[in-house]
Amino acid sequence: MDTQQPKSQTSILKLVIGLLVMGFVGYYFFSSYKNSDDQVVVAISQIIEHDSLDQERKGIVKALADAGYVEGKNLKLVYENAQGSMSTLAQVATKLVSLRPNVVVAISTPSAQSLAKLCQKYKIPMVFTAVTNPKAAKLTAGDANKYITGVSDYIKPEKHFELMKHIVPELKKVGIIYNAGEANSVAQVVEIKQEAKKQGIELVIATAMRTGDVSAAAEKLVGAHVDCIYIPNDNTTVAAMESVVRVAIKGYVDENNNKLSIPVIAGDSGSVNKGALATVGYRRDMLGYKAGKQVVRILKGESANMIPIEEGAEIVHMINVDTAELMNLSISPAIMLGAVLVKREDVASS
Amino acid sequence: MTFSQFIIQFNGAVEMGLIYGLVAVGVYLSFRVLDFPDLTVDGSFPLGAAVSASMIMAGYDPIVSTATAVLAGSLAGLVTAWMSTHLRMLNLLAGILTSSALYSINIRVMGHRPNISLLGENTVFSQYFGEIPLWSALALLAVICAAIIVWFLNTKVGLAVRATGNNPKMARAQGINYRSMTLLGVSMSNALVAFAGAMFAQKMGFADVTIGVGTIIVGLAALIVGEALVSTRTVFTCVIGCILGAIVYRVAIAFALNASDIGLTASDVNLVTAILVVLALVLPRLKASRSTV
Repeated sequence: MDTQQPKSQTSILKLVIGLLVMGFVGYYFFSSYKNSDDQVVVAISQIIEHDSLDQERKGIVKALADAGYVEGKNLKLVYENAQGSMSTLAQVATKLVSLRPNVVVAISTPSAQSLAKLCQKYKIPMVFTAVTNPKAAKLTAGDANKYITGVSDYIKPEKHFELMKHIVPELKKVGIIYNAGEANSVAQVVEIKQEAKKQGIELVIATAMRTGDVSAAAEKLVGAHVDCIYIPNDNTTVAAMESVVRVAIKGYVDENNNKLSIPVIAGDSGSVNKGALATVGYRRDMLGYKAGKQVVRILKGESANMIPIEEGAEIVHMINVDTAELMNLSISPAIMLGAVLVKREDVASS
Repeated sequence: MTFSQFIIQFNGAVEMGLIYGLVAVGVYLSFRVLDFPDLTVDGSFPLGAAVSASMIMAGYDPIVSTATAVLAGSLAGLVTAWMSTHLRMLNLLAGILTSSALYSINIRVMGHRPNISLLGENTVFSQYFGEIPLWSALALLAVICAAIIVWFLNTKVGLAVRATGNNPKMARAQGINYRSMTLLGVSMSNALVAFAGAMFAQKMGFADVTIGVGTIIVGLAALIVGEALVSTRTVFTCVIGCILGAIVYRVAIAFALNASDIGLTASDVNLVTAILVVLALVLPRLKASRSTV
């Protein structure tokens, strides 16, 4: 821990500090960073480069353009990306707020949370998007944040049931797998139960404490001859999605000696990449567009807390064509139209 | 940049620097004092955030919550050090294992959620520092932590820890139990990092499982920048250097975030930060080499 250092330690320290101070002062004088009066400033904070988040941002910019806000003319768009680092994200927040923009836009929950306190302090309205549960994230217009609104991407189980009915028209029995230890899943299952009851669908529940139990849970559902398996956003089950798919493809043999595979519908797109048959989600660019329209409303003089938080946008289906083939299913054109198709070769080998 | 913009951003950079300065002091304890490359940090930082946030949400006093977070961090360090000293595992591997296990544990600690929001909740800052500016509250806490570490490393036990890192064989010959010294040092290091994590969560208003990603890199960078800035001859200057280095690193990021004004894009932040840190490291050396000519 003792390395040789030159004697002129203090002078070096002075030099570095001097350089820093000079840099800042020089920067202050030479950059003409001022908000001009004929331009509105919209500042965007995004946590990481990711296709769906980028799409949201494009949607926001499009909504602004459609309302007549053109970047460089009457709009100054400041966009910062924390490249996945939470500590950088904090500094992105201070930077954006220091510009005193007319509106800040937060893409993702942490982006919104890192800005919430500062926006409250400097009275800057905020619009968030790519947030699933604004209430749990404390991003609703309560006492803590008065200048906040946005678009939530929460999707109701109703939409998933619709998709299941498209794939299995005479849907009667749906099996679900989840870990009862995950608070998030328990909350989802409550809603799923309500929806199933409303639609008169019998629900078969299998729980898995660990990823190792998921395969057995799937077999239990296959043994119960469910029409469809529905996997909510449950970390445990999603982690073992491949084993659910394997069991579901194997399926069972009915009394007429027909081999029946069971479609697996997932709550998220990642699961479809891992082999689940299909899911339904919102179009990211449309969610962004909705948020962009909220930004426009604020720019036109509305108060953020008077704009209700919106939920969802146009839906899009995502289908794993390899799984569909292995399950010997033909998907109705109504769903295939405009759907995102994914492949997964290694499901075939298993 | 107007003056008020400069002040706000500089403030933000100093606040972050003070928090990551504590991480750097923790990294200094393990990497430099003990010569124990400990990667647990990526897990103990979010552990501190998770424990303090969940306890605050459960209604505990912020100080009790923070103290528990510190305790949890020291336990995490203890596990890593124990795997290394008693199971004879390579210390790098032990750290990787603990930090990856902590990812799952952190989700569990937060009640099976990846994110806890503290917005509008009581924190150490809102409850005990009230109207005092955040940076001065953080500076005070950083000074207290630094003072404790400097004091400790100059006690008899602290000297034994330092001896263990310098020359384990020699230390053993002097009757020092190198195992317990490693356990003590690494757990102290992670306690500090968890404290930084708890401060981060309470300053930012949320805890998230992903806040730990890259903590070790930030800590090491701050440590090395600090070593370039000040003398490494005494523990005192080393600890000051860590905190100073972290602040310089954060100021570099603040600069990088403003680089978009000169035509760089948002995705260049990490590159610009890296270049600025290289400059901060090289400039003093240039000066030094010129003076020796």
